[in-house]
Amino acid sequence: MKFLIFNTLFLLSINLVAQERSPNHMLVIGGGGEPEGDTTIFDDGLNRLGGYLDKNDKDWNIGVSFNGGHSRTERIVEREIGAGNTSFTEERYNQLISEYEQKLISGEIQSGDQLVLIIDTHGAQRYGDNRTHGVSTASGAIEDYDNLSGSSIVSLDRLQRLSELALEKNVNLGIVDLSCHSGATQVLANANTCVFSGSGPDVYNYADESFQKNLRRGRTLEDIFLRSRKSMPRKFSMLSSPIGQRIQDEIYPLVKKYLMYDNERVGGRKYQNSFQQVFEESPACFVRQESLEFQELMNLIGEVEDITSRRYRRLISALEEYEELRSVHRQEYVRQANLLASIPDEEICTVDNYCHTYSAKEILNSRQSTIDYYQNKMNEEPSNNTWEFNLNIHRSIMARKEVLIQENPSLADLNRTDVFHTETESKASRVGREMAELYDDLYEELSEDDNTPNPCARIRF
Amino acid sequence: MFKYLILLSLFTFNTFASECRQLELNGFVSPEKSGVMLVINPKTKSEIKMKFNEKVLVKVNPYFERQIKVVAIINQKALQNAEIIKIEKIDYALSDPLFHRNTVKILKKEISCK
Repeated sequence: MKFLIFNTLFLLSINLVAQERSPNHMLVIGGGGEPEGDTTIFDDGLNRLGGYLDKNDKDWNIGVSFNGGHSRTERIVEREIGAGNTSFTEERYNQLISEYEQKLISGEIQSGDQLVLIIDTHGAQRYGDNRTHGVSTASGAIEDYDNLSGSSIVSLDRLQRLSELALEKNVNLGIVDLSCHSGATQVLANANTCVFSGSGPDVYNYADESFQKNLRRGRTLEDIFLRSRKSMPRKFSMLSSPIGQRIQDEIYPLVKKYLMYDNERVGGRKYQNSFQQVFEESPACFVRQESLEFQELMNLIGEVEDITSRRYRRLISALEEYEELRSVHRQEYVRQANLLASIPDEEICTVDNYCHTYSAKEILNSRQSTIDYYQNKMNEEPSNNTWEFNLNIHRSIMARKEVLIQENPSLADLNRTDVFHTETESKASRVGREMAELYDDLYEELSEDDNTPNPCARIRF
Repeated sequence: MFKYLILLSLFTFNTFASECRQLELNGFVSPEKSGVMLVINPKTKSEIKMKFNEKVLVKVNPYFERQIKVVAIINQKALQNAEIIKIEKIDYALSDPLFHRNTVKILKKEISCK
């Protein structure tokens, strides 16, 4: 009898444990738009997400629809996220969102539960009637990274109903959109839906996996956002917390005006043609035009600063330095164009009489490191004649460069152009750091007196 | 005779295939172990790497480790991992790492690869 009672109690307890439900639900989708191959750029992010789930997967009910057609990526999904992966097609996307809507309606996902939807794929700029933006599914490879042509696309507007249901059913919904231009998804936010966007609506996201790297048990979505945005602040990631929205509304139009100013001025992509055309026809006019446009921007920022705070000064100073450096670089190219205008193009020949025509600018900007590269390639692939050929012709270029400088010593400092890239990168990093500090300062200050309900502080990993 | 006609028609079809594209690109010339690459939108999720075909390197040599603007023909529709098989125009350009403006412009969506 005792044995029977013990057995019954034992079986009952096992049953209760087995039925204990988790209030945490996660859906991972994406991996689309990549060219043919075994891997995708999303592999590292999946591995890192797996690192978090390794220790915490028992706490989550996980659904996944990721990629389709890249064998290594699919193996990573199966190993790190879980079995039951399906290809991320338009059909599957719509099915899944409908399934999760039904879970909220039926109460399978209950009041007080949390649902985190992680979207890691390529994203387009907002266009047409979309409130949010389009993202790539598994079909096709991208031909244009701004509108994702070449790839099959689904709209995140499809998540609107899910967001509304989260509010209606008191479910905490976190939408983590890690695609490019993901700031467009912020519109889905409400009192129960927190939206974490990996980048601003007009910029590319960076492949830094900063969200996944900062996943830790106990951290809220807000915590993770504030940490992860420090890794590359210039991508201007966004959070729909009440304070995040206030700061974004204040800072982003300012920064966006700077980031986009030459595009807006001359009508978007037309700028590309006008750049080359104006530069070639009248380098001095080009420089003056750009300076005027930048001054208009700085006047606008000055007006905003009067209204807001002195803390913008460091960011403005960083932006000014960045633009000043680019202006110096532009001036250098103009100077070169003027200096070299009288020196005709030259035919450079190898010892076995292969000849190619180079401009004076090309000869004078050529570098010794190109010879080093071809020397290494010859050592690696001695049977490939291409390397020896290019090595020889470049030696002839460098020899001619030396003669030109001897004849006109003022040409020697044209090599300054080889530092343009690293100098500009350094200034851009400084702008990023100032943006990060400004954001942090504002967030901290505004948090002190803010009691607005914050869905981003309720989503907890 | 019939077999020869089929072979001839297949050859003709391939001759007129227009799998190539003409683009205007702004990127960084990066000499790497696998070849000389054009890197566009570096470190972003929209980073594109294209390889210069060995036949065009003679034009690219003065531009190693420089930002460039180039009008080129690539050998496929997809941008990623495409090969640049012809250079029509090339010049030095300014870096703009804060915002990758106008880095890819499609001039002709389909063009003969010859």
